Amino acid sequence: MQIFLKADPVVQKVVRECLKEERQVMNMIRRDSIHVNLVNIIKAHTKAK
Amino acid sequence: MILEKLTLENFRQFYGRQEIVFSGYKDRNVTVIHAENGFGKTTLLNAFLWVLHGSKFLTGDFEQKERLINEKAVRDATNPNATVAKVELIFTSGDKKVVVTRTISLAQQNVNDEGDLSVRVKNPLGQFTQPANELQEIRSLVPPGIANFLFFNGENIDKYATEGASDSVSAAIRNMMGLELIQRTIDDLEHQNVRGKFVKELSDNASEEKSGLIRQREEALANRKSTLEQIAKAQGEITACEKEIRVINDKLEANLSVANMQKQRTELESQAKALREKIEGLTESLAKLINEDGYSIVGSSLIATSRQMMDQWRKDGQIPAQVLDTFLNDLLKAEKCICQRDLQPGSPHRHAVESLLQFAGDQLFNTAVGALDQSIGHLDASSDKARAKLKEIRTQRAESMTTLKRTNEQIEEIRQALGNQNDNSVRELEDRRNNLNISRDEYLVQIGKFRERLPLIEKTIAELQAEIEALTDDEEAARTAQRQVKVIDDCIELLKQILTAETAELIPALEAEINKHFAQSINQVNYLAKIDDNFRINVVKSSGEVVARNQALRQALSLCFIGSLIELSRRRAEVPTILQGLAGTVYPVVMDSPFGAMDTETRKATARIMPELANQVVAMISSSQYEGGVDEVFKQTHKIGKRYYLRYHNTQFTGERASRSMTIDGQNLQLFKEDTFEHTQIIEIS
Repeated sequence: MQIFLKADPVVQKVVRECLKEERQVMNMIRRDSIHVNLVNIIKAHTKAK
Repeated sequence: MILEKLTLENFRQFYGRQEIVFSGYKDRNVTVIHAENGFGKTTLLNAFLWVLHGSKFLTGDFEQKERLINEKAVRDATNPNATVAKVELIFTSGDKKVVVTRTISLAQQNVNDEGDLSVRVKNPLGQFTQPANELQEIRSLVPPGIANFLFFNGENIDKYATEGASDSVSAAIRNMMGLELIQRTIDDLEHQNVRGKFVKELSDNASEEKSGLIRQREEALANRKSTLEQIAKAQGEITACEKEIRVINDKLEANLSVANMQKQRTELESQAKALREKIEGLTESLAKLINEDGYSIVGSSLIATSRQMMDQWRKDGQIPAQVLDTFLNDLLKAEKCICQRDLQPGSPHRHAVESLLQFAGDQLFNTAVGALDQSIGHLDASSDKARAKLKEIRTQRAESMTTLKRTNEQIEEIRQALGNQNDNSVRELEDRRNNLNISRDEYLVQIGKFRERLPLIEKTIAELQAEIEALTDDEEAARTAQRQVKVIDDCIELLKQILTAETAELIPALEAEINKHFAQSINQVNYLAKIDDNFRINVVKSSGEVVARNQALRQALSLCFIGSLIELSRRRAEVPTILQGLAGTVYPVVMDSPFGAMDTETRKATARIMPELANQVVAMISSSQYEGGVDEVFKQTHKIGKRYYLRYHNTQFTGERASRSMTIDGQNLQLFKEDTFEHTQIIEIS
């Protein structure tokens, strides 16, 4: 947990959301939807300044 | 996951609609289903597996998997689409209540169709709704990789404590503890469709110079990935070699003519392994000692010189200062000596006092001299201590090396003796073993070479990364893409660090949890379960000696292992970690014949710990396993919340069968009943 809390807040948020997304589909064979969803999570947290 | 109710409809020998409501009380967490062999225990166990994951997950001992619909229902069928077998399971998982149903019609059964799955989840308003993806929902709640660890036949679980099961054991552990979730997230983030997409965007929008650097960095990253994969592959080959060597060892031990020699070799090899680890530890201690205290050893001549100089200065009266400068300055200021002579400026007496100032020291000087004295003394002492420690470690290391050499020679003697046996089968096994050892060493060499490459690759990646970051982009799109790649790389790195830390903590935690119950479950206080890095479970005595495992011991060990896994999973759900709410949950255990091949005493000891195995326990037990003390132990635990028994119905019974019964808690229960057709009835014992 300490390793996680030391990370940049944006990285913490992205990691948590990615894990949440992955949790839904980790036992499924098809991976297309998870790839699209992960890309969207990263885009949402790294919008142009 | 807490089970509430299982409903069967025309499922195998369970004709019509029958149900079992499970005990959900924390203090009375055990539901017992009494049933004789052949009455339907295995069918009940498979009903759980089928409703959750379909026919592919039915157990090996469940015969005629393609015929799930009750035979009478099939005989009476008028419409193949309307004649169905159905299993419904109601359970809670966290704050969700779930109803999962699987149905197969006769028409579907005739064409080997899987049947239909239906999942409904209760929403906060109390309504049951259909999740967007039912299969995904159920796999997420009860991952297929762990189902066989939650719903199992006790007679077969000894396999989890055997060599061949380490892969499935490792997969179950990784799955239940959330490590698989982290790994899958890393894999998906690293995927060409995710990270690759952002890298391409960056490359497309960056300057030509930066694009070139990005290309080079990606090549270096690919090189690192491939090197790590090659290391993992070679490690896999080593594991396979070692696995086969252990199988050969077992075969040699089973051959009476060479059994003793092989046993001795196993013992010697285990000693050699322990010695190698000891030497490795001593080498590390040596490096640590030299690193931390080496200055006091190599600097001993310097310390001696300092001591000599100090002694000389002391002899010359230079230290400590005989006169303090503050005292002289006070006399000069007062222009009067303590002998009452005038110290006026220019006078010879004043000049004499002033000349003393060059030898005088202040209080700080004297304190420093004291500190120097003390430091030299301390350095001297630590130098002696470090030398003694160095000598001790070197002696121990040399002794261990000598013992290792001798042990290796003894191992070699046994190898020679076994290789020269007249028995062809022994010679062949020994030859194969020899080849495997050679292959293992070759793979070790390969791993060493791959590892040598890694620092250079890492350095190249870091340098290219720094160069890329130093080049600023004019285009906003490139700046955004650069930020995105950085975030994704940081996420991957963070997840890898978490995965390493979690894996390192897991094995000792699991081992400690197994050992809470294991010794008690087999009535052997000095037995300890040990898990190695490949998730193989071994039993050792407190003296360290490896215990040969019989089937009953393996069963007890596997049972404790499953219980421990469930307990850690429960704890994982409670402890605040990055995985909270994502991994770890409460799971039940459902066991068919939990006592397997255990003797009476082990059965009783295992019955005592059974309620502790999980928050909810369902045990299906035949009378032969129940009698002889287990009934009494169950009574003492006060943990039985619900009891059922299975009664077998058929057209006619003859002889002893017609009147056979079993006695549960003073109630005499008829096991057989005459009826118009063959089926099994589930009856609650009140």
